[in-house]
Amino acid sequence: MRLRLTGTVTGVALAAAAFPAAAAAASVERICLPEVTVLDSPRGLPVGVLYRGDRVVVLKRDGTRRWIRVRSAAPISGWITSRSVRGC
Amino acid sequence: MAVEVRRIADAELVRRLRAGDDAAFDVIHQRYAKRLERYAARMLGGRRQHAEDVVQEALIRAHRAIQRDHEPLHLASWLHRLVRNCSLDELSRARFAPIAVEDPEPEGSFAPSPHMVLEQRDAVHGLLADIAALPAAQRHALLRRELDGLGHDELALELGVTPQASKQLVHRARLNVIKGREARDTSCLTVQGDLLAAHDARRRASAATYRHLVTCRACRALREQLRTVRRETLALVPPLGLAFLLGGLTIKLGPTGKAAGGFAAVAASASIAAPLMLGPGDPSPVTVRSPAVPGGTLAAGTPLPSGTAMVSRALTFTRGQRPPAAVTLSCPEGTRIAGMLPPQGLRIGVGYAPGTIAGTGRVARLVFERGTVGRAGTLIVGTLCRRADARGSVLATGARAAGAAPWTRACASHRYLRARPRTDAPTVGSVRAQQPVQIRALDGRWARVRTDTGERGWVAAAALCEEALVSHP
Repeated sequence: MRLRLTGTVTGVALAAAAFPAAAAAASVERICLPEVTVLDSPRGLPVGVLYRGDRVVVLKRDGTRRWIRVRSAAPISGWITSRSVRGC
Repeated sequence: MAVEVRRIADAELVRRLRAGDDAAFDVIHQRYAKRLERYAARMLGGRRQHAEDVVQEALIRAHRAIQRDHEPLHLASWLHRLVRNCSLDELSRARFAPIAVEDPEPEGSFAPSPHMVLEQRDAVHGLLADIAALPAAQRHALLRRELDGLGHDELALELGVTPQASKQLVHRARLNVIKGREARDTSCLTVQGDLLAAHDARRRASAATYRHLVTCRACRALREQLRTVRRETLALVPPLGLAFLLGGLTIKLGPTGKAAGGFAAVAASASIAAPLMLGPGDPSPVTVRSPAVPGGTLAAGTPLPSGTAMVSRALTFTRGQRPPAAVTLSCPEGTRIAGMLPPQGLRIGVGYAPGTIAGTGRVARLVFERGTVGRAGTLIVGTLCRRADARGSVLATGARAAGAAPWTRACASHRYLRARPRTDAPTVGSVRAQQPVQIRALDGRWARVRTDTGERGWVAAAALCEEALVSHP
């Protein structure tokens, strides 16, 4: 059991070392605001709504760090404000 | 003569009038006209100048009604009721009278804004509608007590009840008016959710919803549409035909066949109501904040602008049920998906499924976040639909900043916009498939573009449609 866990951790560490960009981008976050509208682009059309507790994978952060592009489990993809996943 | 007139009882005057003696009505007029005018003036408040007209109208109605009917009546209270109803009618007429916006008050003088006037008027008319909706005995008791200052003993005598019963009537009337105000202040979204859930479950909506409907045109319009949908559905499938179809299906597949499995699957997931479509001019059931609506916001109750539609469906869950794999919403012919409407009711994450692209296509598929639903309730999901403009955009904004450059579109499924023409440059946004863009400059394998949403950045030229690159100078 311990051996398997060590192996998994080592694997993840190696993968992160091999693909630093992918490891940094694909962090899993939880929605912290009561309700968040998902947009197709930072100034675009609403394409979904997520609620507090929904999990999302962060795919990209914009240059200003105000927006992140996420994908939920459903999967719903789009942009949300980065403060939507901050503080919980 | 005056003494003689004073001595004649109301019942005798009514009897004489019914016997064809019009002079009896003159006596009634003399006896009650002034009193009724004072009563009407109190009812009419700011429109007291119409009190005389209202009383005249009430007396004309009274004259006709007394001659037509031969039931015994208590003349004083009956006339007051008539005047009260005529006053309510007069106030209803005033509700729809236009507000003068010309000739504004000179600067410096205090005058309420048209918005304040509208709010006050709505409040007054909401109150009057609540009073009008009361049962007759409660309404009469409340008005005579509040407006005429009648004591409970007098009121009881007039109503033919005990003073204790009169008190109870007044209390109930006040309570109902308060409930009516609460119902009026209830969000339209809550009420419409209840209407859709009730429609779906074939039950009556709550009492609070019905109270809200008395004063809310948008919610009444939704109820009418629901009724129309049901009538049309019933007309399509006569009950006998439906029974025959279901019977035939059961016989063909048997109780343990595939049909039984199908029903079990339906029972385990939500029940989905038929789509509800709203077109231009219909009141919006929700407040929409999106660049696809003029001005960026469309308030609930506001008529949908031309070229715009909304399609929604209600999903009703019992506790522990799972959401369906997907729900389909089809926009009307000639329109495109223009963004999701804010969902109402249960808080379940919902959004367009992969393959459903806002601004492109007519059929939206929605997917849900949760595996199972924690509590029973209804979720209303919907999509906005818009006719695309000359640019191919469903956005209501952006055309003003279009500039001279021609509009083209992105051909790749999704690409990030970069701050500079390099793959490692910071991201500034993204471009979806078929999104209208303007090419501002070309630099090798990169194009500087501006999207219809107003975002600017560099995108790989390969992501744009070829004809755009050819036509770009």
